[in-house]
Amino acid sequence: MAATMNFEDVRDKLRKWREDKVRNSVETADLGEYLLANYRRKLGDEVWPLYEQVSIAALDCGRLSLARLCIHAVRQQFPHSSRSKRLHGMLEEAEGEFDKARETYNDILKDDPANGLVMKRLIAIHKGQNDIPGAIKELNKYIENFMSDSEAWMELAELYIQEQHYSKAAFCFEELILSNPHHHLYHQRYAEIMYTQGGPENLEIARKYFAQAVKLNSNNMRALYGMFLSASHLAASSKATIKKKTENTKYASWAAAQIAHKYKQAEPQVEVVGEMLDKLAITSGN
Amino acid sequence: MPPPLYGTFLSATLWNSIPLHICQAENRSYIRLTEQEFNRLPADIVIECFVSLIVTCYGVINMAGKFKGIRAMADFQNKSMDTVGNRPSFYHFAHRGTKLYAGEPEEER
Repeated sequence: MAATMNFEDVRDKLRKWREDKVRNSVETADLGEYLLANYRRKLGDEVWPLYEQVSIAALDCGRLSLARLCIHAVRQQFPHSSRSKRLHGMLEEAEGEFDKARETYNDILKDDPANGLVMKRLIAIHKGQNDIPGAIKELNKYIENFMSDSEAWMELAELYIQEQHYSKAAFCFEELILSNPHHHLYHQRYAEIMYTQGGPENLEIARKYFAQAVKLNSNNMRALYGMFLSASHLAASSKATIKKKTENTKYASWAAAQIAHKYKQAEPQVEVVGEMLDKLAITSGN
Repeated sequence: MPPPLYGTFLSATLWNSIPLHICQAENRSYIRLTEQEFNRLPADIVIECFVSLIVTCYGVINMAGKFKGIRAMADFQNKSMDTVGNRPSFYHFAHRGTKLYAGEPEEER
């Protein structure tokens, strides 16, 4: 794959993935290995962030020998840097040597106690050892010091979801929405958590937040489906008043029309959407 | 109107301010010579000042170009939960993928 691509394309692609924090570990490791093998001189100073990116990707997809090569090169260039020591710690993690990795990270923290990235690695070790309650405890401590770290809030929310503490996860997403009120995905995720919790009040909140997500980005299909499902669920609920029922039927049919319209734009031939939406409405009504 | 014309407006009025200053200085020395009391500037200088101020403002505003709208949501429109929900600082490597890669020798990958 890489042999047919030219240098600039591969470099720009990897740079974009690095900046957008895309995971794509297998492709990153392949393309990065190709670049580092053939164009190391041409890359200039960009070679070092690329080494870091490739080594993390290689660790992620189990290519430990490639990761070792990259990390060795970085450590030779920057023997005293905390960032390169952190990479070494990550290699130890991937080899399953959690205690050694923890020691490495604690050594870095001795010199630089405010290194957030290394603290996050200590939390990741708990995750790697499948100690989710421990990770939650550590992460809460971390968030007390770094309250504006949205990545940490999201991680905490996902950990709470794993442990099925939905109301706590919802709180984390409330924080995220406050930090960035224009982000449609935060609204959508918050609504999903509310929908999962269930109950008429939570469903109503879910419908509102799905609607806000659709308002912020009209192409968010997941939010449209969410709005349709929560509204039709509320409309079919036996406890709802007549006024609420008519309102929610209206919202559900609007969302259904939007979904059908989007499908028509993308695939004019497909005509099964109406049937599928009917089925969804029946199952959600039960 | 093409942009160079606004530039002409602007430079014309700025250049015009120099004769205005000279005019005003001459007026003061004339008043001193004739030993009159100085109360206010003559009306024609004041009017000329205001007119050139307004023309300068007009020129500057039009030279600056159009405003661009701030689109707060533009960055997020094309993002999905896959990239936004990806948290590289919290990667751990003991995921189910390790079992997947464990069977095959590394060179073949």
